Amino acid sequence: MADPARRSVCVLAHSHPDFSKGGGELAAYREFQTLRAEGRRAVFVGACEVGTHYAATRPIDTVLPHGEQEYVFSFAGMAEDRLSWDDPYQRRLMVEFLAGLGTEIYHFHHYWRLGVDLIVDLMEARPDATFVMTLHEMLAICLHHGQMVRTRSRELCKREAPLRCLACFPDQTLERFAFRKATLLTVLRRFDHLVYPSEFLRGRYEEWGLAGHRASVLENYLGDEIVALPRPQGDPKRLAPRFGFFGQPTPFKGMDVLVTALPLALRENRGITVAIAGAEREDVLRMFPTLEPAIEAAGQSLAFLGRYDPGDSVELMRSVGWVVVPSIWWENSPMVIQEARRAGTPLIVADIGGMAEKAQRNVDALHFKRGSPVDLARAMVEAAQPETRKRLGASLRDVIRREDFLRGLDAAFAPRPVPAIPAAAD
Amino acid sequence: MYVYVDDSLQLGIDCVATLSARRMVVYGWTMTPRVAGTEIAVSAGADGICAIEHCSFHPRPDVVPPDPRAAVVNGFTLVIATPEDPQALRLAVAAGDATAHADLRDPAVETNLFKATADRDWRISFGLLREVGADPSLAELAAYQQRPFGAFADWMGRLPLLRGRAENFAQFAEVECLASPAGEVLAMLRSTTPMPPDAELHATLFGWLADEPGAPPIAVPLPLSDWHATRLPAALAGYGRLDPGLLDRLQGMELVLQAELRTGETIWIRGQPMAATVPELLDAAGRAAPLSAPAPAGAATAGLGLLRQVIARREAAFLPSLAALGAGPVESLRGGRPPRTALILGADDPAAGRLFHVTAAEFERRSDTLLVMGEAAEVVAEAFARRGRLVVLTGAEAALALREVAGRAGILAVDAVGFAEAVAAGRPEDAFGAPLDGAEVARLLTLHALAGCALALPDSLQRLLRLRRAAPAEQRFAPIARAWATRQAPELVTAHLQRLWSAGTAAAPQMPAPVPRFPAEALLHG
Repeated sequence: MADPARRSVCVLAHSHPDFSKGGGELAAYREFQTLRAEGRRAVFVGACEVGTHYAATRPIDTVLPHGEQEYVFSFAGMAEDRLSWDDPYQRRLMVEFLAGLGTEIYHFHHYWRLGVDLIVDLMEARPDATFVMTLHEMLAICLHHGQMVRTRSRELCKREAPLRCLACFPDQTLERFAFRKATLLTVLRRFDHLVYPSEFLRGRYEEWGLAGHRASVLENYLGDEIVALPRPQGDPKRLAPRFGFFGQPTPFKGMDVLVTALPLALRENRGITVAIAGAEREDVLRMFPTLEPAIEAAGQSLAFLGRYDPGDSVELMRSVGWVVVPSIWWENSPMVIQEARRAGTPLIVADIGGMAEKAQRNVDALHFKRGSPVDLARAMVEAAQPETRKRLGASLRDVIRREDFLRGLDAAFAPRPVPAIPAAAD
Repeated sequence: MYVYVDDSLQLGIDCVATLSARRMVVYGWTMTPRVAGTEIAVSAGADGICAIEHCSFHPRPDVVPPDPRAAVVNGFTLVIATPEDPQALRLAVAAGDATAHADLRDPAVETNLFKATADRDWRISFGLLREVGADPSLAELAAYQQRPFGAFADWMGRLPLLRGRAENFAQFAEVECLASPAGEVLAMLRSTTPMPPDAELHATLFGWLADEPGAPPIAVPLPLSDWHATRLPAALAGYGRLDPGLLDRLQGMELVLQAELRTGETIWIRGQPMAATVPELLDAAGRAAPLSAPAPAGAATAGLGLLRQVIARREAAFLPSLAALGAGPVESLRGGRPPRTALILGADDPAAGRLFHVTAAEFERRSDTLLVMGEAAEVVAEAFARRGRLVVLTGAEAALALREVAGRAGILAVDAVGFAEAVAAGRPEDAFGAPLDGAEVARLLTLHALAGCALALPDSLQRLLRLRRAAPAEQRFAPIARAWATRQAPELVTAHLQRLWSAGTAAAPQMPAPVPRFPAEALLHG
């Protein structure tokens, strides 16, 4: 066997950053780039929405080259929920292509858009290879887009239970939940190693049925370029009352909590400002029409910066004193927290899940009660004090370094120990 | 064709048709003197006398003798054996010294058997169909010219068709026709007005029988081995059973019902029974009034009476065989080699296909043949078939294979949902931990047919496993989940089914069988 630290790796993801920039595919692609930069043989294979849409009207190869050692594939042959393949021929093509790459390690960053059946078939085709899965989110556990938030309210869900799931999805059946869970658990248990980007995710998955499996928690790596950026200390006095939100106006990111909190905070400190990066005023009102009075009340204290290039996020975060992550759902291992830590900008986060873990209270962040504009306003007023900004700016941790990331990766990639053969009996 | 000898000796030939190279059927009538002895014969000229293989007579009220005191009229149906290509074919009716002759090859004779059968008085065709069902030598009539229903094809086509259940059918507010997996049929003709005191219900049927799995079924007239019809205050009801030996081949039924309300007032129904579980069938038997109208006085009591009667008849028919199955020697699998045939039950959701795709090896390790049953059986089977490591059977082939292992080899029965739960718990082996030996498979199949509470087999398997693992003190028959039509039916039906399920086991409950309370004389034997 080759040097374990030099074995070739196929990194598989549910998309390619050229087509979407979610945390999972970015983490997968950055891993691929980092391995290549280390001089190791790495191949990237990502699902491709563009190719899939094209395949609906015209013939197209299932797998297409997309750069040096990079491939994308059409998932048009998959079932509607993208968890398995309806078209066994395309699945076989994919399995043959992947097996034919000859890499010694297959590192999956999702099963969605890749297919549990493909994974199992590939494992059978390459029994000699090591299979690793990074679980970036909780789709396996929760049918509600993996959010673990109840469908009929914004109540948090702490544990998968068939009857609770049925209350969220009354059109489903208990049998279907049982089949789904057993299928996903079976496939995930077959991996040689599971990687979780947060302890929170690990806890959820292990409680769900993966306890006792070989696993580790490994922070996503932001990539050499961002990690190489300088990390200057800003002026606490100037930055303290400046707050930034980075993200889309979705129902679960908590932008509405922040906008509602702003007028409350302004009652105590007229100098506070909030910049929303990722949306225009109209985008926000389209999603949250009831926010109009709060936006009016905030007046000049609230600015909308519109869409931004994720590559610019660290730079943008340096222009504010605090990055606010007010999500009302758990968040698993939010990239925005890593980016803020990399930028040297402390955070204000909701006190749950991946946010509370990745932005530690009084080390990296101030915490507030999830979903509570009143408590968020309290935290913002406290944060607007220059001494608070100075204290947390000093204790704020940086992100994982390249060497540590590669060490963690190699540990995950290590082949499963072969059981010792017992001495023959007389 | 009509032959006149005198006012008391006449002969009519309605139809002559060739059933096969050496057999013909003749429809006709005779008018003969009351005082004289009468003989009927068919000759083939120089080839001799043709044997009459079947002869049945029936009234012909449409033919009236000039002096009814002197002559009598009878309709007839003859099946005769003929030489191949006979020189002549003459039918003779002798009465005393006189004889009436008819040339059966006369061009004026009707030869369209379909038309003749449909044009006859329908009571005659009904009676003939019954005779065909009871006498295998008449089978050619039902296979005539290889049309479905044979000679009865046009007649069946003219009968008013009932598919399962209908409201406002003829003068009935509701008509229902159900069939259980035990080969039972139930016909309920419910009215909003009182039933005439002389009303009667008669039935006969075609069964769609397949000679082998996958073969197209053929309509065959079958006798009802136990037909009991009864008049209720505002309904006519009929319950019957087929010979259990036919059930393996039975794919469907066409019930012909003849409801005689008053003299001269007959309702005809060609009923295609709806598949029903045993509880559904029994619940329907206990409902003597239509759903859409208030029950007439006495209807509820009469319905329960009928239900008790049906239960009593079922127990008389089924308990002995179930008791024998339960008490039979059970070949223990413990310590022996486990069965190599696996059965996946309850594969009803295509989502199960994914699970079995990723867990196929669990089955491949433990079995050589896999039977899959359920609404999504094909999807599940495909997960195994593509790998090509097991013989995988579904549908009728799986049912046949299951019957083949019954009483012989035993089976690894795996409930799909139970398997999913075992897999999720990390112990897939638990799902294979209770193989059924051959005797248990036989008992399961029998119980499912005779006392199954759901159309699909998994419910019955779960009941059997529950009975097997439960200590006697906690042995209980799981309640039947359904919206019952009457309040009293659940208790009666559940107790009845519990008696069937525990027949022959050590824990058989000591509950008395129901005493039929319905007056026996009210039963009309069809």
